[in-house]
Amino acid sequence: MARDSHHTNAVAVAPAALLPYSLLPGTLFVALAYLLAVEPLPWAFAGSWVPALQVDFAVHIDGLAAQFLLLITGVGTLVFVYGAGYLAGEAKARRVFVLLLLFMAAMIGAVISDNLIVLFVFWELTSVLSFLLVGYHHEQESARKSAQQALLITGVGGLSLLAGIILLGEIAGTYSIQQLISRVPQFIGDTRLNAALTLIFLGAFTKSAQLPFHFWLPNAMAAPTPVSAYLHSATMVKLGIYLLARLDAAFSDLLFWEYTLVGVGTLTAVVAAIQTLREGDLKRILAWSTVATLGTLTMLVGLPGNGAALAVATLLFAHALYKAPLFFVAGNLDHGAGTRAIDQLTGMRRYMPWTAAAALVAALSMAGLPLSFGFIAKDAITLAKAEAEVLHLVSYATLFVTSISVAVAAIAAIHVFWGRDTVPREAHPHEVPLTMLLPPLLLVALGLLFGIAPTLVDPMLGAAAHAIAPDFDAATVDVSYDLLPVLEATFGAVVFGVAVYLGWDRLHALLDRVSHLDRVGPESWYWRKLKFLPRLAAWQTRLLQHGLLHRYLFTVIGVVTIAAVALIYAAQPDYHWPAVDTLSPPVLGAALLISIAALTTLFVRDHLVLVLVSGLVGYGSAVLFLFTGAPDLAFTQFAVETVFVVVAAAVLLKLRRMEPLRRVTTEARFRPLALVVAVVFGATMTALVLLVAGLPFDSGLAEFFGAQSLPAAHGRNVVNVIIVDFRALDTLGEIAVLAFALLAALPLLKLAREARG
Amino acid sequence: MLALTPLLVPLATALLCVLTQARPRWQLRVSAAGALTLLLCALALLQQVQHAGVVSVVGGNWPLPFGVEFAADRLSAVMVLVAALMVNVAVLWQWSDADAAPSAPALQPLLHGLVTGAGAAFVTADLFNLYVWFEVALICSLGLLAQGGALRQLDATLKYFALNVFGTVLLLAAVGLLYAATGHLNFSALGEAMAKLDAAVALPLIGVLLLAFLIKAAAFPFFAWLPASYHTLPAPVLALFAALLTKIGVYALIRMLSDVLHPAPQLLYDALGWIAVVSMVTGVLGAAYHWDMRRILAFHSISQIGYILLAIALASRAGDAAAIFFTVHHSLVKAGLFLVVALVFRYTGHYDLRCIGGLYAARPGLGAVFLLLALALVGIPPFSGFWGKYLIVREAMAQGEYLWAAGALLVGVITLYSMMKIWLEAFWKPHPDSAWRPPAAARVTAAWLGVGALVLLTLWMGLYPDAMIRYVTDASTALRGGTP
Repeated sequence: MARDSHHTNAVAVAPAALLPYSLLPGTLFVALAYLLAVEPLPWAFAGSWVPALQVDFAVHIDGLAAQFLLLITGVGTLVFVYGAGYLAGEAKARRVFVLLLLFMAAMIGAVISDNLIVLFVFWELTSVLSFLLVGYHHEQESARKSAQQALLITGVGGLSLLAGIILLGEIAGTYSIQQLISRVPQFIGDTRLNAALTLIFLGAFTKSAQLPFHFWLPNAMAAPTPVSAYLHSATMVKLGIYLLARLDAAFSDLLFWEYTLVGVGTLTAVVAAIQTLREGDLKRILAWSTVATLGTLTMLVGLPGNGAALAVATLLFAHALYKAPLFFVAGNLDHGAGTRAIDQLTGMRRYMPWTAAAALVAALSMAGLPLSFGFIAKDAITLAKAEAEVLHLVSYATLFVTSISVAVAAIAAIHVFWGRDTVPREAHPHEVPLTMLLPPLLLVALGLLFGIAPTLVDPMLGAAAHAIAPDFDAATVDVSYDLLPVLEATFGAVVFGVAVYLGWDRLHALLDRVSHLDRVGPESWYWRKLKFLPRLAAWQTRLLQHGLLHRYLFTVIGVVTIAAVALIYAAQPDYHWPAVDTLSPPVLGAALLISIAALTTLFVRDHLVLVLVSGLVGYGSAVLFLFTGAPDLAFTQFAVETVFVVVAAAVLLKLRRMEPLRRVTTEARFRPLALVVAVVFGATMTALVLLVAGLPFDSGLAEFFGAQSLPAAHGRNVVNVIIVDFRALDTLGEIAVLAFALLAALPLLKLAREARG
Repeated sequence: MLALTPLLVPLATALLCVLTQARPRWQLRVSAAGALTLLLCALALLQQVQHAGVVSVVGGNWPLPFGVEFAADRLSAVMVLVAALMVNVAVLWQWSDADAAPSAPALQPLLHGLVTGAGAAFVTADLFNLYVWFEVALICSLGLLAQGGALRQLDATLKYFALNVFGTVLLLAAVGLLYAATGHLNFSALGEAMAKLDAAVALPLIGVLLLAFLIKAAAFPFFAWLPASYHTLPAPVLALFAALLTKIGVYALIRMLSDVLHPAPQLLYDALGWIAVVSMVTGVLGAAYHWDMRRILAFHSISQIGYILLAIALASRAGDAAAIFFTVHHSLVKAGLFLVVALVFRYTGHYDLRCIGGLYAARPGLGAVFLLLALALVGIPPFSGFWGKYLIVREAMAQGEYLWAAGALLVGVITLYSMMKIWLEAFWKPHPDSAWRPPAAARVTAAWLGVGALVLLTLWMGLYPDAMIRYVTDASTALRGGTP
């Protein structure tokens, strides 16, 4: 592991300074345990958050939520203690602890919310915090890529989940999970239900690393070990399972629900088990075996029956009790021997006896051997499968996955710690401090205790199972010791597992040889898409943002023209030829003058002539005003145009060195197209003008202005009164435009002056 | 009178800034005082419209529909408030040295000129008068673009000018056509007259008007002016542009489609929906392509405008509420992001992601603020963008527009990708030059105050969205003539 001391303004911290952080989860855990002992479940509180959207912070804590809360705070406490030792001396340790606390809060929020939207809020927060924690070693590109991958995958899933929740909310008319469960019979036949469930599945599968999104989880092992143990094994990755288990009470009768979960879960478990064999890093091996367990959990949620519900609760609990210690062991090896590569680690018990003891007991549970809590979990799974009458294929798959677990357990406990001592002396192998030993030892001790006396946890598991399957009768919970089938299964798994353990190296080499199959796998699909996105973006952006003004104008005017033509075509308005009494010869002459002058500007190269010609356009409009009843306006226009031409010409004469305008650099092949667009645009606007000119005009405004000008506004000239009184606010705006234009032109004038000087 | 303050206060401030331009320090103080006055007026206006619904005044006290009416309702008031807030942030920023605008005598007057155009456009109730304020905003934004005077800025100014002038002329043509068809310019008179007009005539006329506003809003395929010009601006001006310019177009679209011309022909809403989806996609892909942080954020604006247009296209009360919520959210967040990357520029000397790095270790506070605003932009809960997106997607799904909803959600993924790109490159990646240290003497207190205000408001909209959602729901109810 790279111990970085990247320049930063934080200072290295001692373990003692970090330990107090664990007080918060510790206190929560104790308080929770006490409350659970004295207050019967479920607990419910109603809080309001966004009443305008019916998004309420309603809290509902039943057995399932309580089990998760115990895991979050209990494992959390130990992770914080462990982290105090593991991260001591790291400059960024405090940052990690703050993020971990935030994460814990988000997890708690997610499992106690009864409102799906609120659950989603916390769900997304855990994804973001996971991103920040996976990127802990962000100086390394691999860590950045892993963090990005984790957030992109869970982010896509999150959006899908949001869509699913909204759709489910539309179908059921509520976002409350409890109401949803009680209303199921009313909407179970809705045709949109499968779509909504598919979207929710995508969310849960990405979060809980199910096929085909499984690959982000092993890559997330770039995070420091306490983070991996907490987020990517014990809590966050189980949030998807949590959501599915939560909704199981509503949808377990749907075949779609059952088949999808059993199918995806089983496939995930098998693929992850095979992937385990390909790894050489203990932490990644553990990560893949976590994926396999998550697959098994998904499968169990899908299985019908009360036994399956109990199996889910039991396996969740067992996994926390053995996998977290194994992650701690991997972290200890990292600290004590400087590596996690299993081919470099053998005989470590000589240097790390306590770590070895923790590993051994955790491995017993992982392998599901009798007297461990893992055995209880295996028992529950076997019974659940018997009750649900699963396909043989699923049974074989489970056997295969369990055997690989046995092999992994053997690698972690026997291969690493027993056998010849091959650790190089220069690595200075040594045992880790107490803060890093206590958490794994405590967890494995609990595993042993509950393995011997499972009745101690029966109430907790029973309550959780009752929440998953409401038919489950909590009174009859007693993890059965129907020994024969369970021992059979255990025996088979152990024999097969030992065989895998002995042939590990050979299998490893064999799988290496077929590694080209990865190229068609989902992870390579992800990388291809990630490379494709910038290429698509580059292609599109070069197409749209080429930087050539004439093409921008062509696009804008072209699209406006097409849209206007399409609208006229779609509307098919009736045309009435406008009354032509205003089209007197002077008006026609003025129109002709305007048109000719405007067209001439296209062909003029000399600045002075250009100014004169554009002045003609103004004179044309003035003539038009003169003969349509606005002589005042016409005289104003004449004056303005004259001033403009004189001033502009004077300025131009002063800037003698101006060269004639070059032809605008329009590409030659472009010009005919531009001509077509220009003509069609002009024709369309003319068509629109003719259309409205043919309508009877409501002259109410003009009549009012004409009638009121003298009596109310005391002005004989109606046009002037309109400008300075009736519509003075328009005039104010136009004056502002002129003034601001002058201000805007100042820097340009300055530039011109500098260029000349 | 209160309804006229969004016009008169910034206009008077601009005038005073012109008068004091010989003494730059005084000019800045006058500018700040004017900005603060506008903020107070905007708050008073907000208070008033919540009480009275509409605050209106007619120029010269002429009877309607003959005079020019200014009428502020809830939609106007919140838009004016955002404009007032942003001009305060922009002016305050000039006391820092983080990519602040080089002091030019015309800068302050033009800033307030832009706010005059925007503020007056938000309260006017007269179509031709609306056009006039578009013109004011255009000329002031042109002036602000040209202030730098460097060649690339003049190039940007030219593109901005050519494309926007076409939009403005098209708007004038549409106003003329509508006047010729109805004989009215006042919003309520125009709306009544349009309702009586033959639908076959109304469709193309309204269509041309909407096209003009779409050019102003930088929707696909009319957006070229925006990414061609934004990145040449100094940070405070850029923030003001981001919060105001496209929003005037968006405001006009909401006002026309949901109030004045409501209900417009269904064909126009459908077309707007698809324009919105394509805007969302093309904008975000453009953002994914670029390496200059300002260009990334500029392209995001196009994408986010797409979200707002989608909400308008849903043509319902909830859709309008979503549009207004999203508009306010986007103004605050996008301006905030432009300002945060200006701080990045202050510490590293570059806007290009390939030249910078190491900021998470060196400036964790800046990292936290960027992260917050970026998550808000992407729409991660519980930040403001989430509620905006949620309101839009929920309404789209409720109407059965699943493709639009899917588009809005998938664009979110690419938005996440491109914001993550900034985070990975500027904050997490080690600085390419290992000897780089952030400059010690940076005058950034004023800059942080501005960013802090925007961040707090965004957080408030995210964590306590109820008040805002109620407000925009009331606003959209009022638009359609209901009583909230």
